Amino acid sequence: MNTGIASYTIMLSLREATKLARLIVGSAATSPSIAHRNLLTMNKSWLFGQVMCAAYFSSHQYEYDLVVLGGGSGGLAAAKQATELGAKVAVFDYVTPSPQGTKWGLGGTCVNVGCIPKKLMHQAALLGEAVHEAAAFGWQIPEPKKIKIDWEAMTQGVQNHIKSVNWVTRVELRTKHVQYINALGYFKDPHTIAGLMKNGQEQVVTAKNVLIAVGGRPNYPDIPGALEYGITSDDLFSLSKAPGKTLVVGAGYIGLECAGFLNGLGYNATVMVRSIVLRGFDQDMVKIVVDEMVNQGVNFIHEAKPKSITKNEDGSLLVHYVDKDGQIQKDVYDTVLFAIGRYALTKDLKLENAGVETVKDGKIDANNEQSNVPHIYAVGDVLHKRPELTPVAIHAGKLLAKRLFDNATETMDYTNVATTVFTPLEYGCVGLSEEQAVQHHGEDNIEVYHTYYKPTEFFIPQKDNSNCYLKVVCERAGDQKVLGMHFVGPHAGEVIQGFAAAMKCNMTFKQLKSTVGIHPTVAEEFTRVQISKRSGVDPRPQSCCS
Amino acid sequence: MVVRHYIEGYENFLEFIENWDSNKPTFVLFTGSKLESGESWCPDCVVAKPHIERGFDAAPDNFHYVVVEVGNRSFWKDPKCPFRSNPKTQLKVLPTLVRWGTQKRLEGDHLLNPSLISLLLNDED
Repeated sequence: MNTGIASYTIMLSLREATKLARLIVGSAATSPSIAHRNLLTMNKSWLFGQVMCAAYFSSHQYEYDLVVLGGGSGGLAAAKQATELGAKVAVFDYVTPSPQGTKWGLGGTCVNVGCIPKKLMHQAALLGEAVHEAAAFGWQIPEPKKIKIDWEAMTQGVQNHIKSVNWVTRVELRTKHVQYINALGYFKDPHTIAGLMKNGQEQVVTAKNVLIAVGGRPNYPDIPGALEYGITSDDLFSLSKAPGKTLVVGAGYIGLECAGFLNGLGYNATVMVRSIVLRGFDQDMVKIVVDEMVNQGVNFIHEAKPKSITKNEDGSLLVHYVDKDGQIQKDVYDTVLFAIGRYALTKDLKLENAGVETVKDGKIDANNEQSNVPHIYAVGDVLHKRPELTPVAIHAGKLLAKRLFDNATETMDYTNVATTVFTPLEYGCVGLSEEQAVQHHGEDNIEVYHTYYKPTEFFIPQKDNSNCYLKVVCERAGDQKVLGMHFVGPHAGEVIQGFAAAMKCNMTFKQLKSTVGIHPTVAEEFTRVQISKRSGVDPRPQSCCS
Repeated sequence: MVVRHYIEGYENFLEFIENWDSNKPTFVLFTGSKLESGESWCPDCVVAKPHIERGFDAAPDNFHYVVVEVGNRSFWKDPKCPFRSNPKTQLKVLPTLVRWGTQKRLEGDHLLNPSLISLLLNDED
């Protein structure tokens, strides 16, 4: 370990020396540091001889150019990018077990308890649906009604995939010479990070720059029995036995996705909604998503709040809740899953020792990922008012590393980021919802085009297509710049991604209309949409191939 | 010294691994079978071998190091080679060193890196 650090230091010294030498002989490179700028004002030939000395000093002031707190998508992307640019980097990562005792490896929420396992379980659910459709297409399936999921086998497959990603990440960090420290890092002072290692020893490192990328964890409600008996998305994907009849508390995207795939896998699923489903998303689309979930058998309890959970003798959970009329109701479930929001994991960081300020929920209100302390940055889910999405964190992390270590100037553009909710019928969107467009532009200045459509592959198995719907929100004047695109249907994520690129290029509705579709696809429906909401014309198609 | 095992061919491998107590720390190296010269036909395996051996020289006594010679070049190069298709081995590259019963494995070039070999042998996460 010690010899490793020593050799890194020498490598860095040489690298810095070369960099500095290049700087001094007047190459295009410029350094952001004041020390370097001061050096430049002095005599160049004298300085050249001092380069090794200066580099020696600067690299010994701090052990690392960058210490990253949190080995999730954002932190790892920044760390890898930084080392590629010659910086010396360490990453602290540590997973505090969930109240139910679930823990996992390196890689953060997305890989371990987020996007990856949920997409895989969503896929497992879709396959179950496909088996039944296959019969209509002529596949001879003996007793389709007897087909059921083996929860343990599915979970094993999902967990194996996750563990292989954990391992590949370890290998990648080591190959790229990023120092991985499996400890819960915290600030001793603005440039000093410490963390308790497994062997009980405290590892202390110093850093020129620090990146906070610790992400978030699920909230629990403050009701009796919640912590003892409730689980969250932290636990669901590695649950050792099938969840059975499940109450999902919360109707954000996590709650809807979990309820959706559980129902698809054959478990009775109920979503308890406090007020609004998918807050912040286009509410027309949300209604469609919910209608389809109800169609497929998911139960919804609207305007209700859980009051308590107790355990019955047979192991089932008795849930008391307050309904919309204020009456106490009860029901029995095998599993209660809380998906009522997430909090930023900044409390453990002792930010006060570094002077980093947080806003509500412990989030960091950063300007171009820079906190109120200039050398301390943040990316990912800890950021205040930024989309909590893996690719956003990765993109911001990479750009930040390039600004820090490659004199780049490009900053993260958080607007028009596409996303998809992986409900049974997926909902993909990019840009403004209709509500946001009305708010920003005024109702008279926007035009909304919409249509229902019929996916070709739905006909033979007689799948219900009544909730296949899309919407394009545009400016009303001129060539009608597209402000938002919304799609509910199969493969919504795949459909929306390309249109997100088009919107980055400021696509107009005129250009969308002049685009020739690919037939027969669901994405082509965006090139065919022509009925405006304002016209009042029925957006339901009359025939399949008009 | 680690406990060493040598196995030739797919059938012998299947028989060995089915009867193996997987609770023991077991590392399986899949490599090309030896030619008459005593060296593997697979040049990447030949270069990697000293690095792997050095890794096991420093490993604890209770470790089991299983060397599996998968067969000759044409057997391995067949896309339907059972070492490739068996879900437990899923080999893509020779050499591959697997920490048996886990998702941890090193392939090809990675086995030229002593630091990665040490990670595979010693990491308990």
